[in-house]
Amino acid sequence: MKILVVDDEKDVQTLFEQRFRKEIKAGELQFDFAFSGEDALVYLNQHEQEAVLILSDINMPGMSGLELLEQIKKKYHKPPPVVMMITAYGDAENYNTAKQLGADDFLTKPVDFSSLKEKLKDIN
Amino acid sequence: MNKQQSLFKLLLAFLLCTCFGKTEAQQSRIDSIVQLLNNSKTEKGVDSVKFRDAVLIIEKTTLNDESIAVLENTARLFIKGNDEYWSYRIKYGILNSLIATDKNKAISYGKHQSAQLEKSKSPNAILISTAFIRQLRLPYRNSSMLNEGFQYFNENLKKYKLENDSAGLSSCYYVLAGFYRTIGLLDQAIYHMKKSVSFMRPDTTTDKGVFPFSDPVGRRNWFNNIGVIAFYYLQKGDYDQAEKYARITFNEDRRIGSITTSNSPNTMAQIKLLSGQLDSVMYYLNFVPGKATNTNPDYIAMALQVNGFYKIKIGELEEAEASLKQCWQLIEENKIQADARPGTMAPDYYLALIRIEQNRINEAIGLLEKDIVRLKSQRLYVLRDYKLLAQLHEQTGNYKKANEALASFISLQDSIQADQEKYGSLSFETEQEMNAKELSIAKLESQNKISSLSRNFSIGIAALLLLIVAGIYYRFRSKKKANLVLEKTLSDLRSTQTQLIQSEKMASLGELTAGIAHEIQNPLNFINNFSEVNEELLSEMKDELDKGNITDAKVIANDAIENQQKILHHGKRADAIVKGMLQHSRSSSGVKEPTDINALADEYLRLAYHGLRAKDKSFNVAMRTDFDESIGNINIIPQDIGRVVLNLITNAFYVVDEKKKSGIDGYEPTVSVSTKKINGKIEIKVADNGNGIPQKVLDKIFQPFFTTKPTGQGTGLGLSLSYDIVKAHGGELRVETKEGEGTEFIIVL
Repeated sequence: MKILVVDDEKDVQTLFEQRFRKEIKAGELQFDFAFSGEDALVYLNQHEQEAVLILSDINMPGMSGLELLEQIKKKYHKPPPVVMMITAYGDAENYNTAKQLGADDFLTKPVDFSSLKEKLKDIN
Repeated sequence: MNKQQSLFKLLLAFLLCTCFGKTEAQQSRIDSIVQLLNNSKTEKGVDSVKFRDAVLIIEKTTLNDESIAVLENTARLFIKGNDEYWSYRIKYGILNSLIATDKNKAISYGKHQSAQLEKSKSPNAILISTAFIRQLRLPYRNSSMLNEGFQYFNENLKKYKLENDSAGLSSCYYVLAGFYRTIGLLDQAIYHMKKSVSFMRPDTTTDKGVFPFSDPVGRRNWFNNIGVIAFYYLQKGDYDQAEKYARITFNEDRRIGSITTSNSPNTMAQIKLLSGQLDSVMYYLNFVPGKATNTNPDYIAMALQVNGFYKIKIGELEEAEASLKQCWQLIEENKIQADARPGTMAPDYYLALIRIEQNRINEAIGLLEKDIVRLKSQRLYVLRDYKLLAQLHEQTGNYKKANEALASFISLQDSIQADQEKYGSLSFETEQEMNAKELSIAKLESQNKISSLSRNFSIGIAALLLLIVAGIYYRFRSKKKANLVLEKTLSDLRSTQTQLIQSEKMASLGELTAGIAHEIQNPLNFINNFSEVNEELLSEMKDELDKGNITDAKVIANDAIENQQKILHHGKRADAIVKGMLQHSRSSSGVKEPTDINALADEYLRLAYHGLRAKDKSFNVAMRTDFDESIGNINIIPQDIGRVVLNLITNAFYVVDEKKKSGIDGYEPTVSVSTKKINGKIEIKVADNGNGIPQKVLDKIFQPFFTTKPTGQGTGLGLSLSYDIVKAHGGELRVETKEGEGTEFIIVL
């Protein structure tokens, strides 16, 4: 399964690669990284249908995660990828907006990777 | 009858007390006092020494209604024309006696006397009346009637405000300051004492009135109050501020030769002791006379307590114990209250410290329990005692008691917190008055060549403004509804409207802080997860080592090291965020330290961005940074400069966002932050491409409470605080703007 992680903090790449190193090694999961909402859209245009799952931060300079979510869910109809939002700002307003825009899940930072892994299994 | 004979008679009265009934003994004692008072009358007038001795005996005598009546009759005979000084000096003695023995009675007596005085035409009636009212602080403070005290003095405050009576106002603020100090709200205490000072006229060369009815707004009281501010700062643990204020009083006491009857040496000694400058403690304590006289046993007792603590610190336990026992003796002989004139008398606490050193833990526990009962309403000290008590119980394995002490500790802490919120509200209007008054004081100080103080006041004003901000914000949050009611009833008062508008404005500051609180989850995400990964990696590494795969183990080790560096980096980031957050609620530590200005600016750029973003999802802006890496660390107070940078960036974000919302085609909101080293100076520049600042408001932007933002979006304090902070760093805050094109704020350090 291919996963696109969108976050403006570069350390996120190291973190995901290390936390999922076994899954990556075993070829179960593949990760790509985009460091802004705009980059993520470019990536999705180039790799249509490739990423099954998108994990996106919300607070990013430029296009926010919620705007990205909106774009994905509106434009990529067939079939839209699963989008999970990951944010430090787990307030009710953020949560409601994300759900309204069609987010499939809403995780708060610090990320609980064991529960994230469980969720990924369900999608698989 | 001469003085010796009267004293003999008095002694006899004491003896009678043991032989006959109590009433008869009291009768004799009162008779003796009356005799002594009458003896002080001479042809030339009243012999003040004899008179004072008699009054001091009154203050140490337990009085019943009958004896009060006798003494008041005697007092009446001392009135000569308009001069009621001697008469009220006796009544003041009665009040002091009641304060020591029957606090309720003392309160009603004091109130009664000051009411009488208000009707009096005596030229010094106001002076005497305020002295009585000021003295009422003691019975309220040393009992469980603080709430009534707050009520009484706040009511008086209102009354004096209407009458514009500066003596009354100054006295009420003085008393309220003491109340706040008693319940442990030191910031409020400092605020009220500064307020009291603001109504004073220290420029008078001679004070009106004679002790204890000296001019409440005169020079002597000014120095006294400055000394008290020092003492509050001391209790707060802000030793720099404490020393600045204490030195003013100390120097004045030396100048006018009143050092042996003043508390300033004690305060200086405590500052030195608590700030770790142990070798200076004795220098100051040596100014306190070794032997108590009638007028200063409490100062001597305090010196003994400080000396005891000092001796504990330098390990001379025997001397410490002797000193503290002497202290106790003075307390008992002179009925010195726990909340005494020179500060909190708690020798048992220090005796407990000695017992701990001697490993006699059970005795220490006993002493602390006794101390807690004695200190009652002095909550900060009781808090201290509970904390130690819990530790000691834990040490002896008595977990049940330890938990009890901890529970008391926590509930006390909670109640302090609750009061902080309850009493957190301050009137905004009076703040503005105060600013002007404080400034005039600052001017006066420079005349007096007390140069260090003027800086204190500008910092004081800054701290005060912060306090107001916090106060009004709390008020807004907790009393939003109450405020609406207030608005309705007092809608005709313009001042209240100002206050309400202002309170609304404060909300936005709070929201920014809330956003920052979320922001801390970002570094925590890395810290927690990299830590877990490292745990896994290390156990994998162990496996590899067991298998003898040194190369693989090394690869894993390298990963772990890299992760470790990331953990550290994000830990520091979290630290910076928390510090940034704290400075919103608290004044800074005021300590300059080598700081990476680039990292600081970058961090605050993020904070501001995410703070606003959390508030307004549609907010979006391009951020550019250009940092001069050759700068290295510079010596600044990081919280303060951080606040300035945050203010400037927040403002920049706001203006570009506004411009974007006005719907200009192709407009790309941009904020850039850059640093540069020029001729040994550091320039930090925050630039935006907003609409610029119109010429007509340009000269107002650094004024407090000036804002162009609509209600609810700006405090009007940001730039004025920023300006003060940069000035305090010896730097410069400049603005360059072009209408329609944008603005640059430049900090030069």
